Amino acid sequence: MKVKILFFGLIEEALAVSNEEMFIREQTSLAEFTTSLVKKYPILSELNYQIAIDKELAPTKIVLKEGTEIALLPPFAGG
Amino acid sequence: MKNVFKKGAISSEFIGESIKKHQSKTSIGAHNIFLGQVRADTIDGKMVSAIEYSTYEEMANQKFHDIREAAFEKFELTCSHIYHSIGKVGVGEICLFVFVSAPHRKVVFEAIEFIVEQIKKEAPVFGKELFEDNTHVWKVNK
Repeated sequence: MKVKILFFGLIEEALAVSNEEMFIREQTSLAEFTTSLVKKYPILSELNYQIAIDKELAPTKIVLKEGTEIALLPPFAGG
Repeated sequence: MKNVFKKGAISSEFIGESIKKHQSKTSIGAHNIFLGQVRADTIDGKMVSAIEYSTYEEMANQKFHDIREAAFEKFELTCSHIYHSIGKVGVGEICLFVFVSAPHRKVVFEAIEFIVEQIKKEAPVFGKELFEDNTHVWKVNK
């Protein structure tokens, strides 16, 4: 199944990509997904970020669904 | 969903107009305003000349909406408005405008602090601090 990944700010800059789609197997948890993403982009292991699933900060045990939007958010700087 | 973001700096004219618009709401007895201004910080000997803001817009607008809703639940407010800049804002310019109004003064002091602190902590807004020599660092809220 297909999920959409969004990268912002410092993460977008470090990876030189703002978004991409990825095929993952059914029943993949966010933790498993993150592990595979770090394999693809090793620099992520050195960066500080939170993950939002469909626009909500999410626990790592959550199971991903077809079409899920996964966003990697670096530290906030609003205001 | 209301769009909180305005391209570039928030002008004093816009802020003035917002105040004027509330003069017809005669149940209001107290306003409070918070303005965030871009500071010329010195980082490793270089001075910041501007901040370039970016955001996860859909999530941020939802978050700003939730923050306003929480403020209405917590405090007896007549209205509350939030505007945040997107894109480049120079030092000395306004990047955040929070405006709360209520029948009486006490709650507006508490409400403005609550809203601003929630924004700093919860809104997915990112800021690149730009230096004159075209280099940059990424800002992090303390």
